[in-house]
Amino acid sequence: MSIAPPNPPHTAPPARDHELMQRTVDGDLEAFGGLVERHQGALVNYFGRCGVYTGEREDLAQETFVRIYRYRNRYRPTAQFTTFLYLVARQVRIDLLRRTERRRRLYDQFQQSAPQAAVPGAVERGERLDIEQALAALDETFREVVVLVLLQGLKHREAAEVLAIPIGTVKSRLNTALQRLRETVQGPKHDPESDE
Amino acid sequence: MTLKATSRPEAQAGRDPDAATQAVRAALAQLPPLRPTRDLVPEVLARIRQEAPATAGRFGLRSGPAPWRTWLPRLAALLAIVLGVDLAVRRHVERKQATRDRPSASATEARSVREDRESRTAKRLAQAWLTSHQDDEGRWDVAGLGGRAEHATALNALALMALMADLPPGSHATVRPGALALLAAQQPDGRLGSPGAFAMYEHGIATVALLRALERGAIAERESDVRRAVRFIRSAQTPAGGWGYEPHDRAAATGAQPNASVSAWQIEALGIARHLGWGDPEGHLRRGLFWITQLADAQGTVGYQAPSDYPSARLSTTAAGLFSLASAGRGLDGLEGVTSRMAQGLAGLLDQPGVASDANPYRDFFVLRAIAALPPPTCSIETRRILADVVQRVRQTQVQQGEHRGSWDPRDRYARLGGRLYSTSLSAMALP
Repeated sequence: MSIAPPNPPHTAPPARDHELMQRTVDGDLEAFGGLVERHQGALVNYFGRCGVYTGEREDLAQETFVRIYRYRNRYRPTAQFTTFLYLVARQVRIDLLRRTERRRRLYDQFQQSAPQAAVPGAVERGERLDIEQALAALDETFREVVVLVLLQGLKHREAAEVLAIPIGTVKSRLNTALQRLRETVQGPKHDPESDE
Repeated sequence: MTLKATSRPEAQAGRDPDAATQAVRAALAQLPPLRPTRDLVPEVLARIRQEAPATAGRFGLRSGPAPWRTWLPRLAALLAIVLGVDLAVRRHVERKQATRDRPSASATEARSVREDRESRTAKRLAQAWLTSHQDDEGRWDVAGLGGRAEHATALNALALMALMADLPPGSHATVRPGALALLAAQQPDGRLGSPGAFAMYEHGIATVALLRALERGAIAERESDVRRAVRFIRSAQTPAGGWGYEPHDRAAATGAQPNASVSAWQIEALGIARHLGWGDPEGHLRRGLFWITQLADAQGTVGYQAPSDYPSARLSTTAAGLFSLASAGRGLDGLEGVTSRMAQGLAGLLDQPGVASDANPYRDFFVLRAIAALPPPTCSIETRRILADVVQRVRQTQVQQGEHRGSWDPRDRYARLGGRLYSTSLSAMALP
């Protein structure tokens, strides 16, 4: 929405996430605004790297924050706020996928058919496009682990909580994902000696 | 495609998997962050204020200290957003009502606080009815309330569970007599209730009620008897992992097969026992849960005795299966995928005619409990809307006048078996 006004600077001293969340639970809506301001960029990046269409990333981020507000009484400060954040964000994304499965497939086809032609200077930024394409082509199971751990900076334990899988599974999926990314950007695995 | 810019020569990275992996990590780290094109704070706060004004007032939401000069343009913008959203919501509601007799998602959210209050009132009324019909020995007159006396154990247990569901901790005045009355009928082998055709239904439901009573400290001195009841469940399990209408040793003679509905009660009991710290020493709970997972088809729909076996409503069996996994299976490895699949299966089945409008206490009970047992966020807006309609229908069918004020009229297919006690207990427990 273009009518959104510039956000006024928050004059309160920086507070930790769980403190802001506690204030939110106590009824301080402005504190929740501080959480939104702090994490909106990370959320948009999360949705974008998980393959959400450009026009929907912000809507999903907004929906995530609204749901977090609804579930505010279930938040426990013993857990990282970011774990709670991505737990909800992931469900929001899953709900979107269910609703828009057909549209998503069309978008994926479009992305695969002519991604570079739509981006000026693609040749100069070949590496970034390659790794982006490789990430986008990664199976969803592995991509979300890469996004959460390597791009969003979650610890293995936190990612395990978000994905509701054991830590060992997070690690193994991450290794597999990196291996597949490597194979995608370098081409099929082969023995260089055998080519001679 | 090749990784063009790395700190190592490409050929070297190609021969060294570790170096290549590090290069991939480095390339990922160099991806520029995707940023929002607008500030989401005003929109989020506007939605919160618009969607739940009653919540804001009730919980005393307040804004932080900010000069009015700073807030004025922001408030104006928020007002514009609110009016815009409000208009969109109104149009959406009108459109929805024209095609389906259901409120919009936003309207569902907005009415949530009022509905919570109405549900609490309905549960209190039900509790008052249950208490007023409990005799001094803790029992209910099953036959006098339209049920069959041979099912007295299960029906008394359901009533006791409904009574406990909304009582504060430490309230034993009605719970303790009710639990002791159940234990008075316990057999030497631990069985609760009669050895009739519904033996495991009776026993499973009664054991769940006793475990709940024990959990809240109402019958601490009878723990050994409750443990005997749990042991009976374990002994009655079939080799496949499920439970049938009769214990396994008798079922072998009669040919009765395990089914999802009976098994759900036994699994719930074993889950509570595990929660009490009694563990699952011989894996009965795990085997039961695994058996339930084997009943789910690819869409997450749970069959009665086997996948795609639907002699009656598949919604009830799917809800019962999902409830088993989401409650008793919580924290156990390997169930996440199938639990998610069953949740999707349940959501798909909810969107069919009659779910929101037709009275079915057993189905409502398991559907709403299953959803409540799922970790948040539980389901989509569309599913929540249907569930809200179910809850509204349950509330609206509660008797509001006369001798049976607070109860529910027995109207579904099991009314001839359970009578008013059955319909009231399950309906009261279904309410969130």
